Amino acid sequence: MELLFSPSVLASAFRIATPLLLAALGCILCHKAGITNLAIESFMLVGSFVSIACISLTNGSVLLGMVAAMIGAGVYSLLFALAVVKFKANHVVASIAMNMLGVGLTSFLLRAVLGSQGMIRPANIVKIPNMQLEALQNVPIIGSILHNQSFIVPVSILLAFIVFAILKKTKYGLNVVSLGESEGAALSAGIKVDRVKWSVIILSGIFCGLAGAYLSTTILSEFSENMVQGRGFTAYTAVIFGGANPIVVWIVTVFFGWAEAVGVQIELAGLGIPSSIVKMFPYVLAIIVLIISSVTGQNKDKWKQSFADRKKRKSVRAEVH
Amino acid sequence: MDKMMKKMGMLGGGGGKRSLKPLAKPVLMLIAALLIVMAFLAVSGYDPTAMLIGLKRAVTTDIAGSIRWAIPMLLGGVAVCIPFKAQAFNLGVDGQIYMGAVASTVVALALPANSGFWGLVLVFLAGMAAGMVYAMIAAAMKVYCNTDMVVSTLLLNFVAQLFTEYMAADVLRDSEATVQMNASKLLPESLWLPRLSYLGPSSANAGIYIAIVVCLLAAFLFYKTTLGYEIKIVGSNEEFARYGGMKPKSVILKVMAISGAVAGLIGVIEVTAVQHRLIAGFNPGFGFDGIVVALLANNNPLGVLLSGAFFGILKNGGSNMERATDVPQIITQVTMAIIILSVSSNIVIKKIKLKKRRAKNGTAV
Repeated sequence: MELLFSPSVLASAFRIATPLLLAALGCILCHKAGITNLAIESFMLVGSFVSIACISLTNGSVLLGMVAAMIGAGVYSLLFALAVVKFKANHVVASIAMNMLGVGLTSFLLRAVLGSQGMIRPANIVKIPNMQLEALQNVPIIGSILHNQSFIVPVSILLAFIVFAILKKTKYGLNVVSLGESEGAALSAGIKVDRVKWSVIILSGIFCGLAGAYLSTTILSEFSENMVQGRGFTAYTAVIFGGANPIVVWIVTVFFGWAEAVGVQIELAGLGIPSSIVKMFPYVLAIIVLIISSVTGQNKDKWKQSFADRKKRKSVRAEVH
Repeated sequence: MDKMMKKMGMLGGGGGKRSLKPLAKPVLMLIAALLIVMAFLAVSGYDPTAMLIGLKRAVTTDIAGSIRWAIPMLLGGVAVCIPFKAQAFNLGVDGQIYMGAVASTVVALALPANSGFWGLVLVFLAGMAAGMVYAMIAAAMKVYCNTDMVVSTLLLNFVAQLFTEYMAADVLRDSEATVQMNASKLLPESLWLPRLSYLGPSSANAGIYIAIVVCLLAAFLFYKTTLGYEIKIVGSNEEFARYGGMKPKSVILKVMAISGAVAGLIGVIEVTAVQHRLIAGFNPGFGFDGIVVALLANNNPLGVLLSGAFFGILKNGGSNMERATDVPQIITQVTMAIIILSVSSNIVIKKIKLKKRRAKNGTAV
């Protein structure tokens, strides 16, 4: 029990959940607009690479690296948008191509531009100090979560609420949602469909760029080949399980982060479980979550269907009488 | 109904035409992708002709290496294109390869050292069965729980990769090895799949014959059997397939089983013919390469023969390029990604045209 819910586990759960959440937020926008965006995996990778490249080529400012990563991943996402929106490529196939391209391109540029193979750890990195919230330190849960944490953690949570508000309250958000529900209807309502699609993909690129930069500059302070390791897919699973609701998705990502944090704790505790088995835990959990969410989703659809049927029958009966 | 039947007939019977015309587009795409990559190399300060030097070596002096890489490409292409045809995405080929390799290693190490040919058969069957079972997990999740197969197969890949790491590094580890590495004990020599000795010392092995036979069998399955017809119909119109008395769910289960078995075969061949032991992370992503192969072949198993051979040469050309010049091999992956992007953009344009035609017909009726 101590192992599962200690303050340090909770803190690292939030730390690990942050890149997942940021990537998931971009994915939510795409999902709502009816785009299956699995390319977030490579957007994150590109973000990680660009931030580290920017840091090692300039004065080592992490903030500059993060901005560069958001721009870099945003530009990279244009290619996905081009394939998916302009050329109507299959979303899944294009995502896979983007992921392959991301791994290839970053590894190639790592050698070509930064002149190192496999990984790079810039010596001149100037990390942003973690938040020291003395006032909150003694507040039971929130204190342990937010104290001594990067500022990106609360920013990402804030962003989740902002995305929620955008989707619910703004015209842009409603356009995105209506596009996802029915492209034909959105088109006839005068929504510029292609422009909305481009915008959500670019936004997902920017979000994922920040996620990747956080991963490489704040959690690890290095870039290694293919370092995202399926986090994009986990984020996608969180989006599916959270029903593309930013707040629910946030909770799901924290849950995934918690699973990984517990794994790390188990490894540290030296219970004799091989590390590869422990590392399997988050993926297995994601699969189980996926099964549960699809079963409940199916039932929800069935329920909705039966409800609609009953309504129809009722109205038919009313007409008959 | 009659009209629909005719339409389905038109879609189903398209395989009869035999001309070189369908080859023109993929070849054009390949040349375009190679040109883009060469331009990219030139921009980043490398010798743009390095690619061609590598490719030339791959088809002349190092043809054996190309054969070695063509084996997983051909099998991967078949493993991807069978479910693809039924509109099911098997992105879990990599995981199935790992499971096939693990199962075959376990069986091979358990068998007596001199078990010979029948032992090898048993090893192959074990690997194929493991790949099949692993693919069936994702298929069953799709059929019974309606999970998104794309995500489930991707996640299962990571589980399989970590499981292989565990098996190689912990369970089957070579305790007598002087150097610590994440690899199992060496397989007994009687269970090695023979290499092609007439090509000189290389990793080219008899797996190439198996791969070619599998491609031909897949073509037979697609064009000459009832299941092949069902796959085509389910892939083009599931509603219609159900109306015609087919069971799309059972078709999905069947294609995934076949695909998993073929994927398992890649694992077995990598273990018994190339590495002779189970190495953690031996698989550089053959499953994703298979997607490129299948896409370029337009899901035609006979086309897979050509595109698989080409990607074998490309892959081997990449490693030759790295040996001959200072251009990193990873550039071949960039080439492949560009090929998928361009080909997939192209495929769907055709589909839209078809949809438009359908819509027109719909209004006419």
